[in-house]
Amino acid sequence: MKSSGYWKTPAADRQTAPQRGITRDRAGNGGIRVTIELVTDKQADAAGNAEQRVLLEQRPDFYPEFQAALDELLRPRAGRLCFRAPSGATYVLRPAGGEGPTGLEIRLRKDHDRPADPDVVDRDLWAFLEWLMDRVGGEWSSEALGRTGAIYRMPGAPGRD
Amino acid sequence: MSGKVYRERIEIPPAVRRLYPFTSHWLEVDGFRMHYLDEGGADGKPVVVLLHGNPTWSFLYREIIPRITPFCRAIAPDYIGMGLSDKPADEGFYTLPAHTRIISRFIERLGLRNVILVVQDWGGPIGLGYALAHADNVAGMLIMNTWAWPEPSAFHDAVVPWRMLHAPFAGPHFLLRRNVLIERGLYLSTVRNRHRLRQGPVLDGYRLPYSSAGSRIAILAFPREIPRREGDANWARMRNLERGLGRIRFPCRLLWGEQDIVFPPANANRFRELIPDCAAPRMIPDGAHFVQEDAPEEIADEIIRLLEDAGR
Repeated sequence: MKSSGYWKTPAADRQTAPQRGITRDRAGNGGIRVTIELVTDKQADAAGNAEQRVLLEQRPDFYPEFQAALDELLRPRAGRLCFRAPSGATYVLRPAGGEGPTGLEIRLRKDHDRPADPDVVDRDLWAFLEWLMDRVGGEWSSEALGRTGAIYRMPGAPGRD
Repeated sequence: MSGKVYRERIEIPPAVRRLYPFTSHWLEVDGFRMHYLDEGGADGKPVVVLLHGNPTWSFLYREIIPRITPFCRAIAPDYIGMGLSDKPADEGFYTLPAHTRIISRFIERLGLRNVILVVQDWGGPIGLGYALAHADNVAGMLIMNTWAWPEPSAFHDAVVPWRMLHAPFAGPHFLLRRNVLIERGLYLSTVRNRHRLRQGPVLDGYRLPYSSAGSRIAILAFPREIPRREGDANWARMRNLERGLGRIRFPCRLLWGEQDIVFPPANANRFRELIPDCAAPRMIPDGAHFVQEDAPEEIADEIIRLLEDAGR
């Protein structure tokens, strides 16, 4: 199924390269598409100095398995996870700071102050969620996410593009 | 806990106002501004308190209020975090005990006596929490499509779709950014009048107070309050509610949207078994979870019958 410019395949067919922080979706036709690519702080900084919060999770520990997966991702990276999403945009996942609720937030790095296109951000976040679910594992999977997204017609979910 | 509160001035557009032609009232409760409707006059009429669930607000009762106000005073609050009430930014604020405490203070502050409670979805645990603690101030109860025990329904225990909808990071995306419980969930959880929830002024009415991610925190918090296992938050509280059902002495009626996959008709039968002298549920075959959307006439009829049961 062609979707959002990349090919979705069942989770069982996916190969991961956690040492590089890359998920590869290997389509039936042999195509390979990188969905989420982890980048360094320096690479994230190069995306621009402006930021926009696009998601706030106040309770990352609501299910302990998510907190465990996040700890594993964040601990070796000084609490910041920088990644490039399918649109090419760069995001930073980090503790929510400043005033207001605590938790973890995802911020878009950009080189301008204009609001980001919400449709693009939605699709990028969807790719991040697929990537995250497969790292949490157990009963959580990108396939389960996709089925839920299809019911609620989420941008980026199977059957929505 | 953050003290930030989301409060915006909401202009009700004419097409929604025609559906919701009521005067807004506000009451300060626990330091928050709580919105409610107060229709039908106060001159000695019996008082009916209409409690909504998630992700709705008093708009849910717009077609029921005009049908019952010839017989009673109808009060329909919006919980803190919902509808036109204040919306604290801290998700930790939104707990079942907090909602129950605030509704208790709301009823007390308004001086409402011998109330008849009408509950659905989260209105069930909240309203029953009030009723069991203040049984001497409750004259009757209409219970619709809800639950009052800790064991989760099959729907609430499944990853797809329910638990995925409010899982870490997925929840803020589905429920805060994309608002899917309103944009899609209402439509999926109605039958007879489902067409109204696809687009148009009814859907616009539900959307109205939830215009941004920051205004939807309570919608995400409610699902996370549902216990699934012993030891979870609210497990013991829900067990206490279940045990309390056997102590109910005020008249109760049950009305159920039969096609509800969240709280199936078995829930109605369980309430009937647990509540002494409770009549058989009135089933709405072409009704689902948001039964107020599907069957406003039948609900108004049951409320009027309940007023008679209560000798009001």
